[in-house]
Amino acid sequence: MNFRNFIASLAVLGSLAAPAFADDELYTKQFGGKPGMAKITHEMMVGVLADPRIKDFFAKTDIERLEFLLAEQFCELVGGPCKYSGRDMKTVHRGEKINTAHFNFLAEHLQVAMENNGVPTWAQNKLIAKLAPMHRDVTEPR
Amino acid sequence: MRTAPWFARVGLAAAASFAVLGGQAAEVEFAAFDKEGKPLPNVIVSAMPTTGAPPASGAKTEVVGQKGWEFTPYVTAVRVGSKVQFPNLDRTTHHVKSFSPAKEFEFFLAADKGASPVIEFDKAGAVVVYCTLHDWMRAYVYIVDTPWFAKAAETGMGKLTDLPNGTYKLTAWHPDLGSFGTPLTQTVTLKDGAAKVKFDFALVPRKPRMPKVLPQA
Ligand code: HEM
Ligand SMILES: [Cu+2]
Repeated sequence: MNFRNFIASLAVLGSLAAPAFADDELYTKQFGGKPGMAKITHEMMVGVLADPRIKDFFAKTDIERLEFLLAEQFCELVGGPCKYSGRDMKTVHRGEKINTAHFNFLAEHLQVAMENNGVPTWAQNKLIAKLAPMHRDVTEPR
Repeated sequence: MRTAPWFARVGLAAAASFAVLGGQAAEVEFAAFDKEGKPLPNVIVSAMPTTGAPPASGAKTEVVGQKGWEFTPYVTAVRVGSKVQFPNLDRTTHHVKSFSPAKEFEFFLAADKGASPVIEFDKAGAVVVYCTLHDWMRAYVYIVDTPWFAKAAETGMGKLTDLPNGTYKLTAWHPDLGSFGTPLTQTVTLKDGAAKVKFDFALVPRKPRMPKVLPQA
């Protein structure tokens, strides 16, 4: 699935369909709070590490720590009671030569993980919408 | 007819009362191995009776220090209700954090301030402790709800003691299983003496390495 198109088409739908919840409810109810988000990021990384298109990026990465930082970051992005404690996106991904295709592959695994954990589409879109602008800091023009 | 000597009678009486009370007669000796058949240290084995609840004993206070830019010990097992102290023994700052469902906490430990925060672990599970300043620093607190547990030594071996005779489910966990890997289990029936069990893990241990050049603190 093309990530950009996906966002473009669903951002509209998402904003229409999204019930008006307090932000904390988005995290605790839709993403399952701490255990839910931990499971989503874990399953996302299991998918990424099994994907020959992008797994080599992570050959030397401490996956346990990466999952922890992603769970923390996603929690913060959906309005949960967390504060991301890792490095900034530009610094971490600099020099990795990540392109838009790689970015979309990773996003697919996130979407599959959210889907498999029962996160409703409108709630998925809330997180995706926060991640989309990070594209700029994560990828490099080829 | 000769009566049995007094010590034999005492011995018999003691054995009988043990059986009636479910005496603490048994032990479990375990040996853990990795995927390559090498002894696997840091495995936690715990025993849960298959019927009835274990006695409520065994909660205590442990210490996980930060020393030489490492957490020591690397792996600690405790009973639910136990406390763990996290003193900073380094002349540098550490920022200790757990983001695990079983227990979340976070504290910034300035160098040389002698701070030693205490965390109470009130839920069973695996807790991964990070230092947000030093990527490789990692500690695990594994919380069980039974008084019978032990950590494998460097030899991969360990021993559970003082178990009443009966049937138990043994659970063996290793830090590389983290919060998501499934621990190994087996059932043993204990009847006096020591039962010997073996756990073969399908992993090769990886512990985050401290870099040769430390970042400026
Ligand atoms: C919106 C998308 C993304 C987000 C939010 C994100 C987030 C993160 C975070 C939080 C970290 C850890 C930071 C730290 O260590 O302090 C990280 C590391 C990393 N990311 Fe991403 N990332 C994204 C996209 C990607 C993509 C598309 C790739 C490659 C396919 C990638 C490859 C990596 C690698 C290899 C590391 C580890 C670097 C290391 O081992 O030090 N990331 N990312
Ligand atoms: Cu540290």
